[in-house]
Amino acid sequence: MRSRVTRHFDGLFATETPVAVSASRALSVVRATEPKRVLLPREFSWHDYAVYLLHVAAEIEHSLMVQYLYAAYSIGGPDVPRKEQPAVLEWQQTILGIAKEEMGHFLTVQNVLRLIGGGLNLDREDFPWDIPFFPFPFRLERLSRKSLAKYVFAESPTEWPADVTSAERKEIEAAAGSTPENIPHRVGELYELMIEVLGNQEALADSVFRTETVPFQASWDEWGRSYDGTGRGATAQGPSPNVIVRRVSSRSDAVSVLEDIARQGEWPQEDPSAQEESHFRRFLSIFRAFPKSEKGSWSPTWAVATNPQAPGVTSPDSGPVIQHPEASTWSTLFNIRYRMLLAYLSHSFRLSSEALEVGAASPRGMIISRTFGEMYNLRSTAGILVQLPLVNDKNPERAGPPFQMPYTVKLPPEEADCWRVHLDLIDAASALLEELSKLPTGPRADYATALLNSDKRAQIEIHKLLGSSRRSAPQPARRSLAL
Amino acid sequence: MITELRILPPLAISRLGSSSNPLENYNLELPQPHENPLGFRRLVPAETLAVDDKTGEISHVYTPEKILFRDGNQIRPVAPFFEVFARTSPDVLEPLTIDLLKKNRLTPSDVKWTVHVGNIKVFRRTGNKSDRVIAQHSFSDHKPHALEGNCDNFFARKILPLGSVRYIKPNQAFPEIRLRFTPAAGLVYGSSMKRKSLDLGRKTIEDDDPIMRPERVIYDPKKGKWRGYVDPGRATDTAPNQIFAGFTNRSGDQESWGYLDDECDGTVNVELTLAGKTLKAFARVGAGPPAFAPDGIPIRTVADELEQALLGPNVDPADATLENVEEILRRAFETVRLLNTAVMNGNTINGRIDVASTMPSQDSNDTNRFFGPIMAPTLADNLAVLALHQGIFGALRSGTRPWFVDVLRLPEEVGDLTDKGRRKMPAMMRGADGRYLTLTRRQIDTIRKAAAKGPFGEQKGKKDK
Repeated sequence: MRSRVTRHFDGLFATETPVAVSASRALSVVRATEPKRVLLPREFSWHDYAVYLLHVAAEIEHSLMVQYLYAAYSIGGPDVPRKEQPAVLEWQQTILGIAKEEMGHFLTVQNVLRLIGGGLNLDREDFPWDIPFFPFPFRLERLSRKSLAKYVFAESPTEWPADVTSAERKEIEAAAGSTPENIPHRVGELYELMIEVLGNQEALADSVFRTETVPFQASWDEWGRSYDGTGRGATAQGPSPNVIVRRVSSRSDAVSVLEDIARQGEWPQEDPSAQEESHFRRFLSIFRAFPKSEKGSWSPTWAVATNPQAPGVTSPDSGPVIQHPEASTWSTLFNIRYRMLLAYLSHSFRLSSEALEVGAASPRGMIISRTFGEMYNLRSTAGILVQLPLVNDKNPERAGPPFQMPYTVKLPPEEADCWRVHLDLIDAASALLEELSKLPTGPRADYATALLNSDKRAQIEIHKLLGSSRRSAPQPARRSLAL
Repeated sequence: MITELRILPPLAISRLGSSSNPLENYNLELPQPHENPLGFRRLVPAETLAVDDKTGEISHVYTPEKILFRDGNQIRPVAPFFEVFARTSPDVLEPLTIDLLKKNRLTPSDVKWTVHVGNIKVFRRTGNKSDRVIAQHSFSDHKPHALEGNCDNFFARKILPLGSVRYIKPNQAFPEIRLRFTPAAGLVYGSSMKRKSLDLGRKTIEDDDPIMRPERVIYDPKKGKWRGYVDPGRATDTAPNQIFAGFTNRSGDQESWGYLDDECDGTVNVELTLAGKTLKAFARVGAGPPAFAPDGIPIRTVADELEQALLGPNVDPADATLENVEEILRRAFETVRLLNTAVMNGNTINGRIDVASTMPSQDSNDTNRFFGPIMAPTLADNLAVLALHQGIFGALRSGTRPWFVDVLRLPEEVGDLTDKGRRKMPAMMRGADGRYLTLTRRQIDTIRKAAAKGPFGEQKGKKDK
């Protein structure tokens, strides 16, 4: 994680209570287990510290989501025996469900940021990415028994349930690199701290919580897609995803939703009814069913690379570069579409839903639909990449969706310029799509053509919103300029 | 030896139109994948039979350069042909022709046609048998025969024109035995030159009817009760009720203006007496409104019902292909393209709520559910909904298996008026029972089985079935 973020972690993890410079820089927190004083790092005000903690939480949720998506997309391939396919398909559905819940957390954290007037944070570090909440760096890797063990560990509660055998626990802890001397901090601790700061009137005055931001926040009706924990997406092995996207209008709303998010990850000891729905329990059940790598065993996944990178000036810390010509183009396209998704998502928090609710026009719906459209595109492009070679046809290793962060996820200050960002990204994608649509006839070429057409429609709609005439619509972009 | 007769097609739907030129044939073709897969279906002109009005024979076959749906303000009717086929041995069904008749010592004039059609829409409301409009004709000649709908409650000598039929005269070039059904013009008929409404003081007044013509006043309001009819609010009312032309009277009920249209349905029957034995066959015919969006197919059609009735609710896994799922998705966005989704969702429009007869208002009227939009109002923008459907379509194109099975509304969920239930797909539309529309079980099973195939690709050495 970037040092500009991690250098403030001492406030979170201090083992000895630092001395506060003044009473206003320490909060007394009453906990059932251990009374604690939360100290404010010296560079912050309480409000700013709350924003900082929410930023850290957003990055973690973002990273977890992407990591789980990569694992889920890696599932499949012709080596899965037919009789195992229904169960393997359910694993994929379960992990995608967990990723959707992480997306809900990510959105809700942005809502809380919006509520208290903090800037949104859609950013995250590229992979591999280590933070002091996990004993292992985040990385994009195919689903394996080892990676599952790490996810189980990452989502584990302080007290493990009694049905986890000592052999299971040993395997899980070994995979996660956990030793008695190196027990990492839990994400739950971050949430506890956020709840303490946001919930404390001494730290944040009531006036910080701005109800008027509600129409700009993400709502479950818009983003939840009916994933409410019942029915949709349920499998024989696990419950339906329960996507928590909640608008918040007050301190108590913010505290309540952060508590719910914290509960959803870990195995809540105090709430037996929610235990089966925890991420910990869902990963554990897949871990238990996952084949051990022994001679003659089968692989539930495509042989995708770890931390693959699209071509370019690559990071030495990251994984292999996708060299196969077609795969490399799809991987670059994937990164563009990922940026498009983040740009649309970010834009949605600037557009009020209020106008539409009283019958006026607003492009908010268009932006939200395009965000979902990009989720589908990432899924489809990932589906292509996991099947294409990483290097060449002789090498069994497959590519994979690189999920590389764009140079920026910030939108320009002016509304019209935000729309130009969308147009720029469509332009960048169209050059690649033109190339891909000329592939030999088949689903991939057809998909590229369909996407190209869909982007052209989006372009027309955006130009209409910008008020520019069709005549001024851009010509096909040139990819080089004579200097 | 002819042992049985059949009429093909066994069901044809004609479409009303007042032009004297019937609509020419065309096929609907999908846009080419490498062109614009999200585009409109293309209407490709197809071989068309030209009938000589004077002789009743087919004069020639041609393929038009382009398809015209109108001649000026007159819409071209869809006038289907019915062709007679004969079983001549257990495994041979062949067209009945002059030669085949001759071989059986018969001539074209031995073929007897009976066409029996009706418009019983008024009867369906009032329950009065005297409100049924029926036309029947039997003939063996080749003249056009007008289908004059008679009704006990019409004025004397008044009829409702329900179209015409003609036994096409076979000739050497076109020796097949066929009949052409030409539907009516698509006009509104009525009971009076006046029509009622409420004035500002809520007093019932009668003004000149702006659309009625004297020659189309055919229903006698002294004989029948169609003019002024109000649904009695019984279980036998149509669902939804009150959807006939009229006005809201002082009691708040929809009161009929006594209009009739010239649609109809019925049977086309053919008979042939052979060696003392009469062979019979029949086909069904209907006349419906013109297609105003001919380059798309609705998400659920009569063809889907028939396919399910014929083949059952479950598909063979081999038929649960991405192509078949894609076709359902294409029809979904073709349907969305025609909808004002913001209004149908129950959005507030320019500050006004509940602006049209929609599912949200129906949910409210029928069950006293609090009026509220189906989806979040922000999401109901038509272009946004269309883009979303097309995004899913594109994903299927890439080979991605469908992931949206559990957002499909099941037939047993049509009355689920929870937020979650109302948001299932297809959304915002109703079925014939007045509740939310579903796909057929067979369509749902196609999507479910395609999804179940998962991301496993072609198994080594095994076909994907």
